[in-house]
Amino acid sequence: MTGYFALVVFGILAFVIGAALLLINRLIAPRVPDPMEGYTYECGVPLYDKTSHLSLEQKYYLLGLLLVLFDLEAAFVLPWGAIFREVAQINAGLIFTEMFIFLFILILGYIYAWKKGALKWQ
Amino acid sequence: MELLGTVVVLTIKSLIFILVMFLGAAYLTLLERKFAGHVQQRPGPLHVGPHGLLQPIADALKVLTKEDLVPDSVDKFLFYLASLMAFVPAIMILAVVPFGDPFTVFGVEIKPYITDLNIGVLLALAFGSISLYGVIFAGWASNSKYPMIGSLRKAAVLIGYEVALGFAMVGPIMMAGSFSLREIVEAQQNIWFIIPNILAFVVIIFCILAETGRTPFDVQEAEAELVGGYITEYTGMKFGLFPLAEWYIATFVLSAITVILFFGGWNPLPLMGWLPIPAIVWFFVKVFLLFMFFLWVHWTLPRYRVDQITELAWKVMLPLALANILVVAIWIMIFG
Repeated sequence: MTGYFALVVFGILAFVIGAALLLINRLIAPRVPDPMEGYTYECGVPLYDKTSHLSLEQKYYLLGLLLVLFDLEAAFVLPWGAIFREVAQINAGLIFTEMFIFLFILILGYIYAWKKGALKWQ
Repeated sequence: MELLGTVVVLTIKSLIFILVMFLGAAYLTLLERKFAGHVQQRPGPLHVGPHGLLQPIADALKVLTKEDLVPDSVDKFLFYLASLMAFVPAIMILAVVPFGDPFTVFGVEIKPYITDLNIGVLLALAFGSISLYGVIFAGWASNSKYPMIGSLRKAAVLIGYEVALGFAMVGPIMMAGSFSLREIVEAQQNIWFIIPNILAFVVIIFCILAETGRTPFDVQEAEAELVGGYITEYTGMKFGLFPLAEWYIATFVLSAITVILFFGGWNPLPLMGWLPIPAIVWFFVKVFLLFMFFLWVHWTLPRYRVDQITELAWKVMLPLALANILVVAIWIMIFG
């Protein structure tokens, strides 16, 4: 348990140091108000669109869906990798064919996604 | 009482790690600027201190004393949170990286790592993925076109390479039979894992370049198109944390993980074990060489288009990582 505890302490400290840096910056930096400084960056002209939250479309939502799928597959493959060497000495054929049947099905799905054009930047 | 003692020791140790990493990252900026300078046949920073040696300190002071601008249309809470979300996960990877075996000085056992968990590799992978939130928050909170486009591009690149990275890490784990980074290093005393895992190594090099936004893959802040990418609206220390986390801390820490996975960690080079060089020096020499390799790539190659990069991740890197699993499985079955 001390291992995880150390991780939590480290994380809190990293967060505190990061926040402290932002705070120090806020406290010691000079403030010279300027009427233009609240403007969103644009090449020197007032903005036409006040917000950018509506005007952009994502081109790759299918890739996002595939990420969920493939990361789940990776979650199955990783523990298999950790015990592979151990089990391979007892029954190499079993553990090998098991995982490669699984990976074969995964690759079928991958080829299907590729042929359907889901991997293309649309 | 015992708990309090543990907390104090852990706090001091974590502080030392974080502060040394800060100082190291500051001097890595100088290293990168000098290197970039000489690549482009100019001397690089030269005027602050002898040969620009005090330049990182001047930079830090300058970034701390710049006005903290917050544009009117931003989401203030997310705007500040974004720079922390980029910085904290990047430095959290440092907590799972071991820099050597435990040793004793004056009867006190010193462990040159924060924690040695049996899922070290998975944690490194997880923190690497969490840093994506910093990018998304920055782009969304800025409420401006260029940061939004930059963060969307970076997100597309990151989700592609994360899949390949996950599968590529299976190879060394199979060889070592453990997720613990220390046990992976111990398993490489005879032969480095680069030997059967060469495909995974190629994949991981590409993934690190993409995750840290270095040049062939720096679409998120393609200066000619997007001003500054998702950091366009940032100033002062809020701005400073992004490049610090992404270009220096993340690149250094991920280089260290690559060295552990493929180049034997702190084991000496083959046939050179008789040299009286401490293990930690071997480790830092390897990490330094890999870091310089990334700088070399960064300052040599031009940038690719974002659709080329994502398609490279899905159509080349993912099959390569899967092929690596097959190669390593057959290698283990033949050589035991």
